[in-house]
Amino acid sequence: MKSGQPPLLETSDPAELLGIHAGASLRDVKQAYARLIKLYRPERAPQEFQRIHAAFEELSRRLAGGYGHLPAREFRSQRVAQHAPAQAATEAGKTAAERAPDSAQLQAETFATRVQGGASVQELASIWASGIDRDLDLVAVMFELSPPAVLTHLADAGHFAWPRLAARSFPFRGALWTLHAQTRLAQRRCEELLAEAQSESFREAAEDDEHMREALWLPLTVAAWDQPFSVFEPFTWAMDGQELSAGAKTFHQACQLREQLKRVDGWRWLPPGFSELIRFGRVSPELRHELLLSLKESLDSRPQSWWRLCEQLSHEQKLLGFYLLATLAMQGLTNEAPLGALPQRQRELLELSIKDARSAPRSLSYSWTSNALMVSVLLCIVLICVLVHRAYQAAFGTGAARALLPPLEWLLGTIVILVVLARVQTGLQDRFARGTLRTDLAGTGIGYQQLVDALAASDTLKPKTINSTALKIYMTLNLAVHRSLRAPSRSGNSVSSYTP
Amino acid sequence: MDSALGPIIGIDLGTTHSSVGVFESGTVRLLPNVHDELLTPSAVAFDQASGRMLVGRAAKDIVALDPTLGALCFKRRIGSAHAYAVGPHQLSATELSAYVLDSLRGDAERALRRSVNRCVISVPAYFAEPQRMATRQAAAVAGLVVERLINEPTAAALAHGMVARSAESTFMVFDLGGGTLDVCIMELFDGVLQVKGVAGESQLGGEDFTAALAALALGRAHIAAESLSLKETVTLHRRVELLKRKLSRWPSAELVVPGREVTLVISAEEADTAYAPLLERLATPCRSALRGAGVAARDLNEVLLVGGATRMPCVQRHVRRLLDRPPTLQADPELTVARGATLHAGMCAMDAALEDRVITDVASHSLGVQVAQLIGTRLVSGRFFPIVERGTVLPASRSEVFGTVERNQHTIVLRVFEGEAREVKDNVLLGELSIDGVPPGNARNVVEVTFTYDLSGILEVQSRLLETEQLCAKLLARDGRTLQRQELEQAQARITQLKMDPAERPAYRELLARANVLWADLVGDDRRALGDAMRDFEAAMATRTPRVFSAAEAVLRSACEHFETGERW
Repeated sequence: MKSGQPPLLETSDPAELLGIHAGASLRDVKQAYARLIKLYRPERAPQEFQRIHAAFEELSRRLAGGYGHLPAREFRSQRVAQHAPAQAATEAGKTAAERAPDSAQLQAETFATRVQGGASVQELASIWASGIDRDLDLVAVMFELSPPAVLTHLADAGHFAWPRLAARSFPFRGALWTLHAQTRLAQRRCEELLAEAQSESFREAAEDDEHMREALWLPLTVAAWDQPFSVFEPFTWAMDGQELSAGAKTFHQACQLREQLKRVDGWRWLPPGFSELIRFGRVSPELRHELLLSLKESLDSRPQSWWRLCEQLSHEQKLLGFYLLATLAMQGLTNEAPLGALPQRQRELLELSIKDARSAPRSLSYSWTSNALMVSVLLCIVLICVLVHRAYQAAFGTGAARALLPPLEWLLGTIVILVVLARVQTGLQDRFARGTLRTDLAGTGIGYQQLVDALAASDTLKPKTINSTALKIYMTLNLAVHRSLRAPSRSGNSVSSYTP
Repeated sequence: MDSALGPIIGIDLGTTHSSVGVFESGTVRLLPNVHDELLTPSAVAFDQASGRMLVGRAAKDIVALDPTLGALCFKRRIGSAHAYAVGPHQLSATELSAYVLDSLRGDAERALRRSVNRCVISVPAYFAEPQRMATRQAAAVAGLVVERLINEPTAAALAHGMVARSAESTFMVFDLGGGTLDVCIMELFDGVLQVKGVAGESQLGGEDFTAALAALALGRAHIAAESLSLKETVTLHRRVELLKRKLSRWPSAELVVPGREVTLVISAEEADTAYAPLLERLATPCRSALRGAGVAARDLNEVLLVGGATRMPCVQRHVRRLLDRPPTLQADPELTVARGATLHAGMCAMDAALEDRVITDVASHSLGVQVAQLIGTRLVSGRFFPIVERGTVLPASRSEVFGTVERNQHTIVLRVFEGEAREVKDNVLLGELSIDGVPPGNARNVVEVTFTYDLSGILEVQSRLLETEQLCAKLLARDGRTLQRQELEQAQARITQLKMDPAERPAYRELLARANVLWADLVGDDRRALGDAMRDFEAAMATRTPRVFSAAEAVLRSACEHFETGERW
């Protein structure tokens, strides 16, 4: 601040700060702002300038009205004021705007507890509504937790108008999740979402923004459930409009028999394309075959889009994606045709899967009990060897005992190696046999034996390598699933946040 | 103006050309270089004859003859680890920029007859933080203190806003320079120039149009680009650059492809077809800037074209079609940014004539930290959490509270990123701040992080442990792509050792380099005539008689102008 300059008024009222009277116009606000920032210039009085600018923004927003020009964060706080019902917001004796920064997370935890406790629809809906001002990822989680009746209640109360706006305001954070969550209300919302996707603003956003284009898939997919294919033709404007249309067509074909689709728990984290694939795994063999053909068509016609999706995934997810495709391909054909009759694309995928499996990591993590057991066995063997050596020494003297050491060491080493190998092999096979691995991996219902049969039916492998290949494929699948579902590395140097 | 500290000069450090000016007596005065030109080519070359570095037109001509001796368009790589071979030296874009800045400083000192050590430099709005920091370091190497980095479209708008002093308007600045495109939505009212939205592309400029035209020419001549030698490639680039300018005025023009000596006639329509993919890329930043500003194209009062590449009629037509209104072309689009930077230098110097002017700028990119987020029951790491969002008015200070993810976690490493992608891996890492001494306990919110982002785009990260009030602050250290302190000192030593003192930089060196380039292009009688003039010039220099020397210089200069037919590279 310039020396001798009067201090800025200490007030939280923006109108008072700018010296604006009631009923002032936008022009008055601009004049007052210009007058003040010439006194408190940004380069000389940064603190004061920030306060003045914040007041100017606030007043401009009030005068302009609507959401159109608001920055995302302010958009959120205003949304709270409009949508949060009073009874929910005052749950802890505070208004929504006054809640602590981490209260959204608390709301989600409260919500989860109440869901388990069998709370009423109205109660859950009110808690949910009071949490919508927070992190969009969190909102998505709450969506996942919400029973259908709560979502219906919230939809009827008009609480779902904002995610579409949020998708525009948050092009990089949460748009996918929000829209993904929105699909839970698919049949109710499809027309509205389609209208949004067709709107000029969304279209402009999607043209510029890859994330928004990805987001566009969801309303299109949802809309496909109830709409004829022709509704997608207007979307050919998009840079990859043909891809969008082709994808929507695939989904449309798939969703004609949507009653047969079942949700598979534990896979929600996958991107939309893979989620759909997984859903397909639970359908009838006839539909599955039809879907596989659609999938092949889809892969052939727009590989770029698929691989773009793949590129965004982690290594394990990518691996899983490949195997899902391969597994689905195998499953679709074990019942109906030999593997040799696979279409070229599917055969390539299978070969890719097998190739990847061969180079997959070999280690598996066992439970601590089984590991302890294995270590105990090894220690016992070592102990026996030591005792034998001592007994030999007592009986025949030190010189003879020393001569015995090398063969004993060899023997000991060999036993240890054999025990470890046997542990790995039997442990895995036991687990497969007992079905403790995810034998219905990806909801396909396919088991270890079926995989062996499928590989045996193919001419691509030698008979004696079939078992080991099947084992490797399952090992890799298991690793991929295990790693993907497990929380990522907690090295102690990352931070989490749910602050607004 | 603070006379004790000396004047503050305004510098437009462009991809292809740079210029310098000073605000004095209430007006902008652009300062000429030794060749009495306002635009100095952003070129640096090694002069084998003197063993020194040359900057500007002479350097550009040396590069035309031997590309291994110099570098052009290095601004595109500033802030990266890329090293250019300049004669026997390996120089980074930062060091090369330092030579240009040093040359501009010398020009300013000569014109003002006093030492200059403070400046305002314009940079593309879409420059990321490492590029801005590298620009500052280049200035430091050149012995200049950067008072402020100003975004190029903001500078252009400032120059324009001074003309439209009393108007209240919302306008777009479309700045297509040699290497970058910046689009900026500005609002002007009551002497306040407010940036409302910024977008751009750091790898799209006039040079890309030249490359597209070169590709068209090679395609027409059935020549693979790989089959050309380095020298032929540079010659082709030079000829295509001239062709591009001719096609802006004429329906068609001729091009001789070097090496094969194939003569092609290329029409403006053909060139427009070759430019089409580049023109398409102009749309996205325009839409992004409009959306970021919350302004519709129809609400714009004016569209201002800035940058040399906007002289191209196809660019003007395309902008007109995009925004549905005729754009306003500046008289000297290449100099508008320099005028704006100079005006801003005047504001920094608190010139009384600019006291009623205020300019506010916005953050071009979001700044934030890497976080792990709980999605359902899973903790997903590698997410970007913006703290200062793109479009935030500067200076800005924003705080967020973050927590630990594990019980008894004692250290938190804040990794600061710049960008817009949701995953940090797609953003630019700016630096790290380690917070030790987190009190033991359950995972909970423990630290408040404050980002303070100043008008020059310099970021200070401060953390405060909520329970112990322990503070930790850091001006972000740059990664290995920018110069460290020791490297900075070495670069300063190198530039002092190698740079050509302005007083020692004779005009004849530039003239000879220019004539050499031309001689290589000419054939037959023209070549012989120019060769004679060059020989006479060299003979005159040997006499060291000023009268003889200046007469020969005039002859050679007029010969060059004659054979260049008005188109100088």
